[in-house]
Amino acid sequence: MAAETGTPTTLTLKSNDDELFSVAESAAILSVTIRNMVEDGCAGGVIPLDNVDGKTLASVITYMNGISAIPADEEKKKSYRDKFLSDKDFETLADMVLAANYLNMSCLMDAVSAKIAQVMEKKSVGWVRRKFGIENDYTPEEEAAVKEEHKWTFEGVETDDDN
Amino acid sequence: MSNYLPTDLVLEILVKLPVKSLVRFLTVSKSWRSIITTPAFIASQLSNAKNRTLLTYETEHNPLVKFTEVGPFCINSSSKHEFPFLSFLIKVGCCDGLVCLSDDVFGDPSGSHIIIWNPSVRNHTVLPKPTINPNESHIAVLGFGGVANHVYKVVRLVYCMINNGVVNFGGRPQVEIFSLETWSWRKVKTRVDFTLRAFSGFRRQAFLNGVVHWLSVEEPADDDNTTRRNSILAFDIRDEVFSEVNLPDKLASAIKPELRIFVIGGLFGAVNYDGCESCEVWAMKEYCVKESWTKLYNVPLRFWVEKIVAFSNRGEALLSIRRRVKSYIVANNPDTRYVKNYIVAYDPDTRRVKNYILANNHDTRVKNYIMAYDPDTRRSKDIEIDGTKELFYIDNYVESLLLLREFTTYILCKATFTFYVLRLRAFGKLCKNSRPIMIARAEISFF
Repeated sequence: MAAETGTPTTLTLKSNDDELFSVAESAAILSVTIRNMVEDGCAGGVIPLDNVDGKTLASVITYMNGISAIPADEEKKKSYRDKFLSDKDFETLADMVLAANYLNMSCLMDAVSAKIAQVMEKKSVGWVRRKFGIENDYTPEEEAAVKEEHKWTFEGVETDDDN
Repeated sequence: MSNYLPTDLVLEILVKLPVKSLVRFLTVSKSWRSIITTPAFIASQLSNAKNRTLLTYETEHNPLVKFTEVGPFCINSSSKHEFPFLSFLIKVGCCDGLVCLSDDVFGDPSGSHIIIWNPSVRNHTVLPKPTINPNESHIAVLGFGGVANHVYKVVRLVYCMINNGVVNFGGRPQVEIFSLETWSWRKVKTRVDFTLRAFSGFRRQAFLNGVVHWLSVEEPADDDNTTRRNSILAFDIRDEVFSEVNLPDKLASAIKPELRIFVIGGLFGAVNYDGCESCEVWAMKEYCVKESWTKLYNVPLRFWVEKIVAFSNRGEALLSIRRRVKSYIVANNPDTRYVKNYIVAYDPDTRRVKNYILANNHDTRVKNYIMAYDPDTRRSKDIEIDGTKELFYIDNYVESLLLLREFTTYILCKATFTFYVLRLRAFGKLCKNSRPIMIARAEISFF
């Protein structure tokens, strides 16, 4: 099923929950993982992406199409990324950072991790523990002591919005 | 959500957080604390840190510290906090988020406090007393800087008074170096091969390319009325070698010049107050190439422009503005005039001062103002300050986690704590909040 020269090649990507997506090869190869598969000749059939679910893959493909439609203008690309990520919640961003890592897309990786940092910036310690699934292994005394030591960093913390 | 993020991705996120958030998240768990306090993470945070500007100034009773974002000179008031020291401390220099402060200027052996302060983690440490304290009158000149791998050093030049018909401090200096890595002073045999007398204090160092630069003059060997030649004494922090950086002839031969040195948009530069009409901004386009010195522009010194305080990251000149205004309060003395100082940004392209507003004068005291520009609202803001213009300190700055106070270290150091508290008492007159703060070698073991 070799592509005819001159016509845009379309790839079919399969998510781990068996959803199929069509995407232009020129946009899809923003992912180094997919580009390597194409170069290795795996592009003929369906490309299985075992670590990405359908919802996240749909979002990543929207990004791939959007960003590859913008000519080489870093300012415009940056504003597209900002807009693309602006309404995403923490869970979606966390799934996207995992997908960007698996797909080896450094520009998406940087943008999403910066966005997560921005979301976290003023959050409480409790919020971070819940969102990152971290068990508090301090004793109450130890925790109080660490908190006391850096009391000023608890000024201006937002009220949790996830309860 | 499918699953939680693996550690390597968590690290990608954490390095992008501001230092204040990182310090708060030490409380998340022991594993987060150990991640955030590893030398590798501290280095990685530093290399990701955005360029900012650090500003310290003094209000009536509270010297303040602010950090501003990259871009036009603007102030983010949420970053404001109290300056923990008395504001007269000389700001020696700034590197990787560490600021070196000192009162070690007049050679008083009982004084000589040298402090390394990290405003981002709100911690500081006091260096042990310098070892070169000759009995005769002397002047100490300090320099501070760092090179790759977090090697930070304070260099101290001690010039003794010479009286051979004419009194000066022109002899070769004795030199000692404090390394934060070894936490000790070390006398250096390095000969300074020039009779250059360096200045410090309000004539601040310029730190560029791992080299500390001081404005200096060549003192005449005897009283033969030769003009003092202006030059730059340079000290390479890594190699511990002194050298001379030549000024252009015009600046080198300027008679009684009011010269200052700066880093201007990444270049080594100088400002010459040539008479009272204007000051000249010069830059050395190619480092250490004397011929590459170029005059960039003149800043007109009209009645209100006093001096250039600093240059922003982008090379904008920040000017201190001084206005004599009549007081409306002291009604029985209408001629009493008060001085106001401002800092504004000068745009050499349009030759205009940006964002200049006269603030309210409702007080009888001397007042200073710094004008700040908010790029989002495109409006200027004024922030009341008082103190003298020399107390404005502005430097390029990055946030860092260096000198972070660590809970475990605090506990481990308990045995040596008494000793440090004793030393702190002596220091108490300098440090406003005399809450005991751990100053221990172990604290900076990650350097």
